[in-house]
Amino acid sequence: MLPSIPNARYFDGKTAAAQIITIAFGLSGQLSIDGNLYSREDYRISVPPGGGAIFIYLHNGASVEIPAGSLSESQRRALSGYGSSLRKFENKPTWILGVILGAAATIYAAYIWILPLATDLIAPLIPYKVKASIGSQYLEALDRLYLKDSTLGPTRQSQITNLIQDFVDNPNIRVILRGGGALGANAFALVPNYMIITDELANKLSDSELLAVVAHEYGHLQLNHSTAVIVRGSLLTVLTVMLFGGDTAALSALPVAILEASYSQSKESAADAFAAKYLLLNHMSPMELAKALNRLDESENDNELVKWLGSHPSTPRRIEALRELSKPVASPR
Amino acid sequence: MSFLSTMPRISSKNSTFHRFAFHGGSWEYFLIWLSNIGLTILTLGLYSPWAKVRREQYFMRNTTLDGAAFDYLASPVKILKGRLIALLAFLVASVATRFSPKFAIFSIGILALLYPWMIVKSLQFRARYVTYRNLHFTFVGKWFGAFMVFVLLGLLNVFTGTITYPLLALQKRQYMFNNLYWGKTRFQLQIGPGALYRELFKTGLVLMLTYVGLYIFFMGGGTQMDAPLAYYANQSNQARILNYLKSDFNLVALIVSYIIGFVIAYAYIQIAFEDIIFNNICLGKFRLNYVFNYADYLWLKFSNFLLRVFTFGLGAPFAMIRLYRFRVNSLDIRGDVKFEEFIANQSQDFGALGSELASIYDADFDFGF
Repeated sequence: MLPSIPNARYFDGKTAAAQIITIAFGLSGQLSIDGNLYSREDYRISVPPGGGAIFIYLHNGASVEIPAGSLSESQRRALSGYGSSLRKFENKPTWILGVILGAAATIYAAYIWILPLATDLIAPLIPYKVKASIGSQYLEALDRLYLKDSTLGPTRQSQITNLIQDFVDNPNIRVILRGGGALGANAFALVPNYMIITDELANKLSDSELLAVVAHEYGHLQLNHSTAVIVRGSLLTVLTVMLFGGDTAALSALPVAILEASYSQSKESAADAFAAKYLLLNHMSPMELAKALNRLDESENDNELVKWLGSHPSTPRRIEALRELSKPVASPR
Repeated sequence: MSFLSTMPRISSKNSTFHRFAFHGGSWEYFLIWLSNIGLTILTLGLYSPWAKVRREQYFMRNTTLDGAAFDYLASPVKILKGRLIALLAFLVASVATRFSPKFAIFSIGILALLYPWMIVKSLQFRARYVTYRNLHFTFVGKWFGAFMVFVLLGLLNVFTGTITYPLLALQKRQYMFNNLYWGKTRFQLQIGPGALYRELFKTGLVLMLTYVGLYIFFMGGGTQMDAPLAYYANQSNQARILNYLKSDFNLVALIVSYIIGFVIAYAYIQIAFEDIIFNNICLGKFRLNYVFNYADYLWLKFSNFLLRVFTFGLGAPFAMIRLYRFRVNSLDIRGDVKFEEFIANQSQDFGALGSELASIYDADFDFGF
């Protein structure tokens, strides 16, 4: 067992005065302080990680300090036996390596499996009312920051609206025409059922190309992409705080943004695939979308559109995929 | 002895002085830090309160004053409860912001009112669970004081730039120390901002003169960029391009050295303020004495920055230990009083919630030792 420790300090908790004392441990766990005995229930030992001072807290509010460096490593370990069981493996270097590997696996699993799974579970639970409120707030923000009123004449406006309504054949969809402002030729789908088309887009594309873009945006709406993106973003924030708060903050520079770009791109590809099917269903070629992408790509490469594309796969890759999809393998009819 | 410091030192005559010391080591702490991170991630964050207690205990138990160690007594379970509630609040706020942009503006207002409360709670909590010689610390600051200093004065500082900065730096420390007790004895930081303003003024003057000197050095003889076209007209094409590139290079060099100058001046101000403030803190008849070499401290801060950046964060524990050891070794207390004369205060239990809210919003505090 432990030898007696002659240089411990006793603090009574009433004043800061220190008494130098000698302590010893009996076989059944009693603690002797200068000959006064305390039973196992009357004190608690706290051994810190590393080699710092050991404290013994007595039931009467007094404490005993065993100064740093006055015990050997094995003596410290013997005293730790009185402490928590967690401590035993916290201090072993071999455990640390295992723990680090396990931690890496946890991050991977959380990102690859838990995040998508939780998103798929939660996204359908968002009520329509909430989605409608989100959509109108985002539309308001877009209107204030970027979009202008449409400058198209009333005839042209109703012509475009009717064209799109006939094509999607879904009375829930609300077509909104706006001037693109800084966003230029663009189209957005907003929860729950908004489809925003800019004047610039309508002017630049032929009717069939425009409908191809509409099919893509309609895909985002039908596949509930915006809701999934919002839910996933919220979950990711919570997960990041849980994993990387406090001590782990140093690691929070992980390239989450890069990973998230690939998630966004997968949604774009899904919307493209939806559009291809929908176009075929309407006896149109998916290559109309490819033509539209090409036209947008060549004309406005140097402004906001470039940023917009950052969240999308590259145009050649999308066109290649659309070419695959337009092969009438099993025409859905 | 520090240079450029105007503060009078108290003489060590007729007074006992007690040294602070740190007994920890970098590698030892590195392993603790590593296992803290690993277990925190492995448990999806549930272990983080235990990690915090381990970290605090490592530093406190290895820090001695007059041979006696500090202690950290907070219970991880209590911290976990606070952290879970804080996480819930954070979740509600971040989800609400995502679902409704309007809420973002609303939540900034709430935060401005909540922030002082988090500061009070986090200072209370930390003080309550740090003990020395079995007497614990107590923080008695109120919401209003924190609001005045951290929100109002903080906002004022945003609008006035550097003019109110020394006042803000001093008021923060005064709020923290003048409300802090060890046992029944209160800390006191009773100085005006004059000395801080003098340091700021001197540093600003030196920086200005350096800027003028640098400008003359890099741009001396006039800038070719502003030169009339005739200057280029009678040069060969090649010479023209070379001259142009040279003036470009000089401009970049000037801007880079301006930035470096500013960073050094900023670090210097931080150090000078720390020097003045910590040399004017009293605890009863004790007075803190904080003596270090400014060049050493500047180098420490700079090399710590490099250490963190070039190890992608893995050097953080080493940087922490270096800074902590430097501060502890520079500090002692002296005065005509014995520790025996300090007595305990009746204890009060404070929750961990505020402290945890504060650390989630990255506003955790460091007492400087």
